[in-house]
Amino acid sequence: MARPAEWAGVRILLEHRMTAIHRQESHSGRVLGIAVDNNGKRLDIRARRAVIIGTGGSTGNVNFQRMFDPRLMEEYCGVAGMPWSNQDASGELAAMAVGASLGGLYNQTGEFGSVLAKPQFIGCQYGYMPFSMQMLSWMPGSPVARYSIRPVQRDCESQTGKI
Amino acid sequence: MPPDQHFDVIVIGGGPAGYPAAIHAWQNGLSVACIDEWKNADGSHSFGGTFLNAGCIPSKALLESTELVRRAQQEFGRHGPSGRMGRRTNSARA
Repeated sequence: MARPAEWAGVRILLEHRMTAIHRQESHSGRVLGIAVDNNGKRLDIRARRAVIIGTGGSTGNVNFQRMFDPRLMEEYCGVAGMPWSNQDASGELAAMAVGASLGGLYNQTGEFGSVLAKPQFIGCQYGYMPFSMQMLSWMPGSPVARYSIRPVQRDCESQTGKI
Repeated sequence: MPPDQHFDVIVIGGGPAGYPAAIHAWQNGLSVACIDEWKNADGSHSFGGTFLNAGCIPSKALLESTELVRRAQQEFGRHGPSGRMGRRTNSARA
């Protein structure tokens, strides 16, 4: 998979873990690049135009998820592939650390529509149980309910009912 | 401190989001680096992140493989081929 990208001219850097995003000021100005860890060695990589975060989702991180609704404890972790494909919100947290705001997080709005999926049984957290999940409407005041999905939420509530 | 490397665009993560983003950036004439930290169970490193290496894509590939085996075992006879289908699977893929 990496080979076609390299043929296309993309430089692939394996074993590189982003540790920080550099910005002109701590929370303002242009994004300048990133700091990475490469086998214990710190490197700074400059981005002249943009830094694109493609680190995956966030619903494996309970504390992160609870920012959107404080009821979202571990039993609401319904993302497919957990825990082997943990979605730890690392990219979102790195962006927030330099002042980014969040919007339209797919895992918060798209995967389960406008409601939250709660597995019926404790421990069944892998998300492949759509017919046995309870649906929970977003808590009033949640940033997701407020900004992202209000029209959809009304439609979905009328179909599924509130719990 | 001067940077160790520089590119027009840095893409963090080589999964289904980062990979096409990196290629599209290059197609638009930008120099691109795509970084990934994924480490396999045997300690080797590969490209693609959790989704590609351990999550949805391997599981869907395995489901597709088993579906094809099932169809070959149960439905080939309708189209002429006969005989007992073996149960050997592609262990490397599995």
